[in-house]
Amino acid sequence: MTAHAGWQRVLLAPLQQRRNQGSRWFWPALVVVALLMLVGAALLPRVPLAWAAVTLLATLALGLWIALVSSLIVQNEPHAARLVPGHARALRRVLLVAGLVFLAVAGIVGAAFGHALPTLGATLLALLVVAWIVRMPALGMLGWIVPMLVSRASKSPAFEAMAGAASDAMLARPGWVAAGATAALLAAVAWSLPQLLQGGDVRHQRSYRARTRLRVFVRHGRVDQTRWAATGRLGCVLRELSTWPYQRVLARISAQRSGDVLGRSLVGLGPVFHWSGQLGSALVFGAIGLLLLSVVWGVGLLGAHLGGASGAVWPLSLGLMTFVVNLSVAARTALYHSRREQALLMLLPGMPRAAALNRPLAVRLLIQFVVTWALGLLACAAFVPVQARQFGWLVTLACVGLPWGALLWRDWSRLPPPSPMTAAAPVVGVMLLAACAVGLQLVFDWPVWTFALGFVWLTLALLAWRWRGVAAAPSAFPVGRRS
Amino acid sequence: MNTVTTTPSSSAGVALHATPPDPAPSVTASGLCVGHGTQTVIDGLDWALLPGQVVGLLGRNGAGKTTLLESLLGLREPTAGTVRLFDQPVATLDDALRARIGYVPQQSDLFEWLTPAQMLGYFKSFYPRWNEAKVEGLLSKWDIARDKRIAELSGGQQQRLAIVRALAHEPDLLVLDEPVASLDPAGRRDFLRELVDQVLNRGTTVVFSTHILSDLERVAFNVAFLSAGRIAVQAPLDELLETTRRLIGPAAEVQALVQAQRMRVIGRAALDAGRLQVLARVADATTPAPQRTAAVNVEPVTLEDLFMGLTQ
Repeated sequence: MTAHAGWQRVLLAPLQQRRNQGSRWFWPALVVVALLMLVGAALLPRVPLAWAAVTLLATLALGLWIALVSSLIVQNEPHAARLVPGHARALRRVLLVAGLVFLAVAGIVGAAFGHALPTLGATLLALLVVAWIVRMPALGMLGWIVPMLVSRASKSPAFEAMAGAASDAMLARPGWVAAGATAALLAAVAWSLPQLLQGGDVRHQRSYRARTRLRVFVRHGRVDQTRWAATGRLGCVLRELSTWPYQRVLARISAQRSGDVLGRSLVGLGPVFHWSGQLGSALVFGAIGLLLLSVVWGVGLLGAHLGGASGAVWPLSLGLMTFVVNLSVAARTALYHSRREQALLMLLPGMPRAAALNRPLAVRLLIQFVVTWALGLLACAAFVPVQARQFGWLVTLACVGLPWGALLWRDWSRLPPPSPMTAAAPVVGVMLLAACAVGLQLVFDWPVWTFALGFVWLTLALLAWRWRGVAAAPSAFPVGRRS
Repeated sequence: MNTVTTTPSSSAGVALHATPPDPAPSVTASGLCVGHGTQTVIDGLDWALLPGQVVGLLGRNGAGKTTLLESLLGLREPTAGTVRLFDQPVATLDDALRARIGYVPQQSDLFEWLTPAQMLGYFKSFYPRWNEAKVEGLLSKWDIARDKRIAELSGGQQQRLAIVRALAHEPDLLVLDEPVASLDPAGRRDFLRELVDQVLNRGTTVVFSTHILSDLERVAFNVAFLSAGRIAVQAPLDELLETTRRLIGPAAEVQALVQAQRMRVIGRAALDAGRLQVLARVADATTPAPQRTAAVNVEPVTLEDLFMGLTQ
């Protein structure tokens, strides 16, 4: 294989990966997003058309960069890195060249706006941060704490004095400082980017496995049960606590010799699917979240935000919407991953089939969805000040997610395997729907509750439509057998 | 379409019948067609398994063994044809009949969030009959920790646990999909012994897929070869080995010998220089196998030869 052919294959891999893994919508979605950016920029007052074109270019470059780098990281499989001659070297070269191209695009975009050097600097900084978060995912956890600390610290006299000194230095010798900082960042990025791709040693194997597990968790919502022991005593205690309600239910139904077979069999699909497992996880991780929040609040980091709370409604609403949509995605992935257990459950005496299985299952799934949705809404409402308009928006945006509950009423026997778009597409969809609602409200000034009611009616209509399909579909279990 | 049935062999290495055979088949598949999307995997298959019969299902990777076994249990809907278990349509089995079925799927890392004790207790609650003594005996004999999470058991232990679960309610039909794939030789021997006990004691009908031919040879089961979506041949293994010969020679001479001996060709492969290799069976077990001629080499076959010849 010539070096040229090697490069070609490495560059083609992102296309092949997305096609083979069933996420055919990534590339069209990227083009649509880029075009939307173009239209949005063109519609803004006092924005020259050239700038809009530059926005298009930047969006495409960013999308391509993300796709390429994520693919390179997947391609950097430890055994291939260690055993295939020149594999890791080829990947590193492609990464570096792609990084340079991306920087060049950033420079062009910056130049179009008259700020080439700062744009380049900011891009380099972003690349550096992203590279290290990808290399060490634990750093990503700090990603939301550091900005908060900086934001809080920025109000302190010491930080203001430091920022002022830096600003003075830049004003005194702006060219030197900017060029020096950019050069330093460039050197740091040039050193850090290749670190993303490792050479197949033990550390590489460990990090590759960790990333694979993370990817499976993000994509499929599936936790590797064999990894709990590695989480140490605390992890095991948390697991025991969060699965305690499930264990109680399991012990109770195992002692029964009669009763609702479907209800009992659903316990066999595991704590990720069953309401008792979800309840346990919500209680334990909710308590941990509250504890962390109260600590952060206690030291005053969030006081300014949550005390006033008027700004909190939007992030909370956004989180709630995503949460609601993820409920249906999570149920779907949990069902898909327990399909082999379902095969055994279908052979149990008393297990219903066809409509006798599908309808009660649909009702249970919907009840679980609605109850979790309502609890999520209540939890969020607790953080929002009682102002009718803000509360109205919170409820409305929560209702945007409700139609996704209708996805739980489907022909499960034809469920396709989860793909990267399984989780992403509904989130994008709900965001677009929410944006439409907000836009309509701004233009027509309709009462905010109108939208909430509209989404509820839409959900009811979808459910009424799908109910017949649920009854007519083949047995839901094992899911995906006819896909 | 010919329905392939065999009676259990009395000449088998292990006597597999404690009760006289019931004339009604435990499993009947008629004109069964099953596909994945546009691809047909099982294509007009006819098959019947008699009570007490133990059948090893052989086929190449991707031949459709798992699809066939799942279809027999009603876990896949056929595009055509029917399956009946104990004379009931598989799609509408009643509860009493479901309690008579045991199944070990190919993957044994199931219910991995539970411990073996929890998993067995859970399944016990559904079955009217549960042999606790057998469960305890097998768990002890096979050294399966009761209170360790299934996810933390080794692949072999998970597979043994799956077998314990399938045997615990003393099924009359046992379907096992590569049940010994993860077992070491000692584990495979234990499993086969348990299987033979099960058949001897209860007259259970057993069908299992495997790639480990030596296990089949050891117990002298019936064997069924799945090829091109159908059962190409099914017969007691020793009878099959006794009555099948490999004939190698010039094509015309080989065909002449086959016709002269009224043998049935079950596999054929063209060799170089106009030579032909066929696997052919004599008409019945009492007919002597043909002797080697000047032009045609006649050889006895092994199970591996049969596998290679019948599953192309």
